Amino acid sequence: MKTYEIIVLGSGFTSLGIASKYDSTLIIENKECLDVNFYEPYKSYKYTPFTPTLKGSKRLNEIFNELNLFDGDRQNVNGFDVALCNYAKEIGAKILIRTVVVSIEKLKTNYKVTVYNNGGIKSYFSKRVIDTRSEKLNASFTVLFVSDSKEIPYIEKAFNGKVYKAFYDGWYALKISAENFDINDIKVYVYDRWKSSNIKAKILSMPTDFCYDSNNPYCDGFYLNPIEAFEVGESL
Amino acid sequence: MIISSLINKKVVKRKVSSIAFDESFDVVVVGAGSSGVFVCDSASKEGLNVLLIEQSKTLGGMHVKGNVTGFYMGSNGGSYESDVEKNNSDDVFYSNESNYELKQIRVVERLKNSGAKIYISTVILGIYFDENKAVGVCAFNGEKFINIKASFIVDATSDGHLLRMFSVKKRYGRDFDGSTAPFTIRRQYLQGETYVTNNSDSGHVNQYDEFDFSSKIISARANAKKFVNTKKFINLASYAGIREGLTFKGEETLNYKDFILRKHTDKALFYAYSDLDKHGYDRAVEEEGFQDWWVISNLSTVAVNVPVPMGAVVPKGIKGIVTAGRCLSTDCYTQGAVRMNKDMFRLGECLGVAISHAVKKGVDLLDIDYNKYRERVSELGCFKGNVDRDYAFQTNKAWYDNKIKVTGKIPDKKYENLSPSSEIYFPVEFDIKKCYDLLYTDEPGVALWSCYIYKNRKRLANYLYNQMISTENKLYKYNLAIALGLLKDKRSLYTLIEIIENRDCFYFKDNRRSNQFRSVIAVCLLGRLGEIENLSTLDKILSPLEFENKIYHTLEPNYMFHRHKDRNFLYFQMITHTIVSYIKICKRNGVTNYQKYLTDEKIRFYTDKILSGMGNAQSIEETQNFFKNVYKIK
Repeated sequence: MKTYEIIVLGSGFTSLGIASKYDSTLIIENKECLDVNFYEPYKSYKYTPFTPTLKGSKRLNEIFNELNLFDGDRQNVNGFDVALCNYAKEIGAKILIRTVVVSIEKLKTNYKVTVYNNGGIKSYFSKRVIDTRSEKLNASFTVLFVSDSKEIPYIEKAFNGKVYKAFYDGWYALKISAENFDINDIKVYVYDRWKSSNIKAKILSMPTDFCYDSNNPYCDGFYLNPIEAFEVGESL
Repeated sequence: MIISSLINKKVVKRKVSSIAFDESFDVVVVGAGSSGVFVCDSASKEGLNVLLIEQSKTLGGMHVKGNVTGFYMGSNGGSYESDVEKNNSDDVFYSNESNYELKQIRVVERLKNSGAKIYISTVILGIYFDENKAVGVCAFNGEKFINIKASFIVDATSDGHLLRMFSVKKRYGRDFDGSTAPFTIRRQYLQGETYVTNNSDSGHVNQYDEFDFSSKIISARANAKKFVNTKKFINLASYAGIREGLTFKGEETLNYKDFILRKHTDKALFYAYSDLDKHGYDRAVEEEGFQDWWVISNLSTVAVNVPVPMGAVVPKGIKGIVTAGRCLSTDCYTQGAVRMNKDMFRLGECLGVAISHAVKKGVDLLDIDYNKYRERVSELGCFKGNVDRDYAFQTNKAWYDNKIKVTGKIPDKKYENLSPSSEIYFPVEFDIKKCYDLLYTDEPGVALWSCYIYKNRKRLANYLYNQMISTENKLYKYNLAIALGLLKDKRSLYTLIEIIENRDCFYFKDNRRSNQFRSVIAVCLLGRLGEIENLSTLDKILSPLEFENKIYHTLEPNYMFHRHKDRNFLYFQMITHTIVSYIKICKRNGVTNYQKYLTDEKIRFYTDKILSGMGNAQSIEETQNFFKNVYKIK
């Protein structure tokens, strides 16, 4: 049985940063795709500048530019998923998606991580385990919609939330607190309220998960710029 | 009692002396996809105590997490219709035509109203068996293990993830190479102000190999690059659309030949309605029976009525566990026809009723009173209009308009006021006495199949042959040769070879996609009927000079209904069918040294030429796979 140098739990930018540095890295992700969740649900369209200094982060930055994800002071968070997948594909990162961690055991010299996924139950071994997942602080939910700007104050009031300009003209993101909701219920809540408030703006999409803050420095949620998060992993 | 699990891809059984179950339910449904949601809803409404378990955080399967807006095939009927009605009059979303977000909202509403208990972010690690009866599951929610007792367990994971945990005969993919239909990932963007949601096939994936699954999904998502930097990109679906998974030996097994030949089951659980949806390009290696329908008769877009027998959800010799979703006891071709969203809703609703009858009577699923079951699901509208539904060409108004433009045919007035996306069904009756005239036309598919299923084949073949040798009309003559070839009549050979020698690239106009050009059909039939002396015809195609033929470089007017506009696709079809036919003739005639004709150099040549135009992930895989496995052809 192969022993990996590092097993990384969670598959965001920091995780891929770690994989870019250590060939022998296995990334384990619960979701069906890479987890850019901290950015995917429109956490921030505002671009926070960061200049990459390392080989991997520079290349990721190039991919962002190839995809035109930065424009002035704004960033297109909708494309982060595709950008990160391109990077993962380029370096041939070892990743397991749709994989649930059942247990982590500390053995004498290494760790045994037992998972369940499409292959059934299986154990992997590594010298080190790094958890990049968040502690799920301050859950929020963000709805992407198209509107003329006149209706924005009304929408903010109806949801007791905050509306931000999204990447494209006329696109906006409504951020509301998601405390005390599960992801299924909040969609119904948003829909019902949108309808009962007679809002004319049209929803483009709702995210697949909540957005959280995090105090974990290996968690993407700790950073506003994804390249910076990546570089933290790469410089590990 | 034992607990059966899948460990390192193998079924592992372990004895357990006694088990104290934490909870108990009439039904445990695993998987909150299209069918799982409706099993749960329906069984709850019928009065059962139901638990729904879902691995992810969100409810609703491919139709919502795969961002499938609207519906493709499948037939109407059942309680989902009220959801569609609500959705169609809704205007909260930018795209409101049964938007996938709206569908998810309806799923959540439905489940909340059902009264069923729901566990999200929970997986099943093992199944408890008392001899051959499944009696419970071991679940894990990320924090703790929960042992749950159930009278019935429903594997609604679509990929048979529970089935894989115990011993029942399983199969995966087609006979030739075990390959399944390609997968896809949908993307959403605005083009100008228009909301666009679409997909293109992304190659093949083995979802049971965790590394193959992960790398292929990531790679396919990476390929969405051009949609991000040229459109107003919204997102990619969080779930990949995987069309096919394992099948298993059930108490009854549904085969595609049953429904294309209209053999009905006495005890239908539900009725599906779809075409045989293949998606792959490599048709040369499919079963001959499938090729008869799909390749030679050009019937790839004919929707068929599929009565799914009750026994197709029951694993052979196992009690207490049934399947829902597209994991049924079928062959791989049937899986392509029994997976549509509407049909999966109705499968779930019907199965929920059937299970409730079984639980209330304390009997197995196959021992319920079928008449009472049928009465109940009919009341619910699940059999509405499905029982004797006709075959039909399914297409849309935009295709129909284009066809009129190209052919100059007079439009049918009843389609004039439809929107471009409106579905049109042209009913089809397979009766050669009524459709013989189609053999004079560029849409001979229905007549070809009618010849194939005609009872007095010998008499018909004689008639077709006499017509073929006396007609001056080339279209009619060639169609007759194909009909004769389908009837396995060697008198067709001379004309089939003429079609091939002329590199006739005429395309039939029967359907809007996936049809083959005439030379390929003739090559396919030659492989079945040909003799050693016919190999010279195929030799010429296998020469590198073949690629110089203008048909692989110039767009012919007759080609316009085919969606593959690149010439290399024609070359791919010609080469693959020719090699397969070559091998079939050799094997049938005891020639064993045929491998020397297919040198590595030649294979490299074919591969390079094919892939110089067809460079996507799917065509690369299919081309390489073809050459790797081709000697397995029987």
